[in-house]
Amino acid sequence: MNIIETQNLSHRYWRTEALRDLTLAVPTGSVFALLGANGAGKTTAIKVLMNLLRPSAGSARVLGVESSRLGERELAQIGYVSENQQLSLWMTVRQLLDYCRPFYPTWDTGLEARLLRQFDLPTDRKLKQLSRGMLMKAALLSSLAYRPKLLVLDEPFSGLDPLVRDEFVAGLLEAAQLGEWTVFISSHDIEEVERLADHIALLDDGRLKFTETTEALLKRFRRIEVDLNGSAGPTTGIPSSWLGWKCEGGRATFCDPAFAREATERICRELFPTGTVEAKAMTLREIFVVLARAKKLTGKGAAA
Amino acid sequence: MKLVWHIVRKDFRRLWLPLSLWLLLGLAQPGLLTTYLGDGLVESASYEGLRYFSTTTEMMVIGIGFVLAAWLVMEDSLVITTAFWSTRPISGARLLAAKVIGALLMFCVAPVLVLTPVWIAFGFSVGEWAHAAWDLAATQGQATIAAFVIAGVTATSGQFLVRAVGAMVLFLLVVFFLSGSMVTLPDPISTGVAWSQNWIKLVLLLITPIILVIHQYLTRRTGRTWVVAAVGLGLVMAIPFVWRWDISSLVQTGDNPPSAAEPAVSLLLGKAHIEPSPSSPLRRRFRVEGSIGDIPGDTYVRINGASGEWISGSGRLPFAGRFRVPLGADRPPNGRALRVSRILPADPEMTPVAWVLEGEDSVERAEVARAGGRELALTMNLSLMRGQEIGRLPLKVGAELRHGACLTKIISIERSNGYVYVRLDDHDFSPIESFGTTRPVSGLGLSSRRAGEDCFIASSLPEGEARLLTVRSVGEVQINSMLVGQRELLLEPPVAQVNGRTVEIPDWEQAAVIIQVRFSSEALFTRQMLVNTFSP
Repeated sequence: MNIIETQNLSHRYWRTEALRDLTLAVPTGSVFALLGANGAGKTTAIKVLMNLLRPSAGSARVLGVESSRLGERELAQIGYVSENQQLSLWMTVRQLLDYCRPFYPTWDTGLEARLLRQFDLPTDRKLKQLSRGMLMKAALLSSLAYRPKLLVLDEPFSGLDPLVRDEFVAGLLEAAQLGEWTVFISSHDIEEVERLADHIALLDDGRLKFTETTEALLKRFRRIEVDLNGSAGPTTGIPSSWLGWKCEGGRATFCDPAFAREATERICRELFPTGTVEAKAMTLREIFVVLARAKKLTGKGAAA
Repeated sequence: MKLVWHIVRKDFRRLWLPLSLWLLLGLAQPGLLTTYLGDGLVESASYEGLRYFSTTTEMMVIGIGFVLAAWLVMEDSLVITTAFWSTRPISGARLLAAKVIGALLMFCVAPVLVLTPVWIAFGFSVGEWAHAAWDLAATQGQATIAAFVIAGVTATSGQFLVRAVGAMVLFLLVVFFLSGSMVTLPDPISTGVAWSQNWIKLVLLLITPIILVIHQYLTRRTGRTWVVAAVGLGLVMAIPFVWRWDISSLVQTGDNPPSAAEPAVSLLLGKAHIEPSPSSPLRRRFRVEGSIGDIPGDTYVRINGASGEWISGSGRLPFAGRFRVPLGADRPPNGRALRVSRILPADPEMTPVAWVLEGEDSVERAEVARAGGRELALTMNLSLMRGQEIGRLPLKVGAELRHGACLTKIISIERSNGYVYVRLDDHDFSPIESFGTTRPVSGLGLSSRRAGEDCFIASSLPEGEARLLTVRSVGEVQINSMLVGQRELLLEPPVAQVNGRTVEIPDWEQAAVIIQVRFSSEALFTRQMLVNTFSP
């Protein structure tokens, strides 16, 4: 059962196509991260899903409803926190919560009190007097207290200093244990996402590069390091799927995005008959950097 | 509905400070003016300054109200995709309902409530209060609707200010265009068609902003809202070119045949002249004279104006301008006030009273009319004014007379050049006429006037004769349906022949009284006249 589904979803700002043919499925109960560099189309995708923008083509369903038909009933089950969201800064934290509460029949005052304590928010202080981290926590609180089925976070870490970021993630993780909700998070902050997400999708230039579970992704990407043991590295026959190929100082390194122990070892034995091959696990950040570099090189190649 | 009020309360919490300051400004305007005016003598020139102050502060109140209304809308923006409300379970319809209720309470009800004590202190009756409240709410309501339209499609405050100025320029251009000053508009086929065109234009101008606001709130499709605005504006501008149907009989109520309750006065037509226009060589002045008979003794008929149309065969064309009563000829006829106060006996013969109307049209039409090619049908808007003695003032400083909102007080008695000048300080109710009618033919001026026409009679003079006094308006200033001003009565002292010399009777003021007679509109009615010959 998917809480979000999109089919060839596209959005165009005048002549610029910000999102192209996005086909995505977010399983219910997952923590789904939409990754991508700045300008990759993450926020546009979320805005279309939240009915803040209309799709130019394709379709999106959220909670089983066309995104363009999201109404009060569906929005009462969705929590949304965005770095750019304009909160009423003249309100105090208490006033913000008092204002939001009546709109949600499922508002849990017990959970609200618990989250208030947990987030250590000063209720009598105006939102404009809060630090950015505190402000994001206040927004998160106002989006969690009604136990939404779907929590959408758009770049929630941006602009937060490391300490506040840690607090925010910790708060999110703790909150996640209090309810059973699906989290859909867009970010370019891979390290934080790695701690949270069990599903990953990567957007690049408005297009979906891949979407899979974090576990599968981390399993299929491996950094391969080959000690050539004095022999020269191969100049031909290198699989085009290998990324970041580098051969210098008697060592060859590359990233195999489709690592399978037996197959990779077999190819390596053919290419480096005397070499010693070592496969290392990669972090999400390393995978992201390799993919970004590969794209840059491809781009340069194309330009040349 | 509970949630709608929840949003309204939130908006009140947000805007309470600027709103309070705005209401205080609205309250300060009459406060400052009445404090300044006090009971002292004010010269005519000072009234110029006071009128300027009053108009400026009134414009400020309307302008600030306009900005506050925009603030109310932009607090929950309909354009930006980062607005807090748009990801919360708040539908556009619910938000619109909350904003409309909030706007009504803030910009229509609150100013009325704030000014109500002032109006009560001023002596307004319930009817006058209702009239003043409607005037104030309607004025601010128009500014609020304009603010809703502009703010509804605007993302930032800077953008709003630029668009507000742009909208004002556009509005003036449209008015200029519709007046025929920019392009030559086709002549309407008939008066009925012209009348229908005016109605359609007015309806479109009223309905388009409302449709825009509703559309924007329900769909948040700003691009399409702009298109609706362009279509509405285009339709208004296209009406003079495409509308050729006469629907006046469907909607016209005021100029219908006389009703049974109409006063049985008789209107007679006298001479009609065509004269050169003092304002333009391309126009001619049409002067029509006549008399009104069968008027009961304590009444007179006031001509509020007239519209005209040229009749040629079966065709009818509107007269370009509007007919008005020349200045000075719009006062109650001599003697009427004396009859009201029973100083003169009733006039059983109901002697006819003369009337005159003037209006301007083009030289070409004047030539055709003079040659007898066209007849002029005049539709006269009339009021039957019934006189009532308000009361009697002893001729001494400090004497005052109150009748509802009308307060007349003698603040000085001075002698100069053999005359006695009696300065009256007076307050009165004065409705804004533009909201008293929705008929486009009546024009949309923000002019205001007293509720009645006053006459003053000097009585109990030693020679036993009562005299109608000359009244001069020193100046007056209008503040929220309240009229504050001063008038001067010119009184010639009574004299007697003593030893062949004419001398003023000593101490005549001791017994003298001033009688105030007010003529108020009792019935509004129309009469039609046909003018077929004009003398050059």
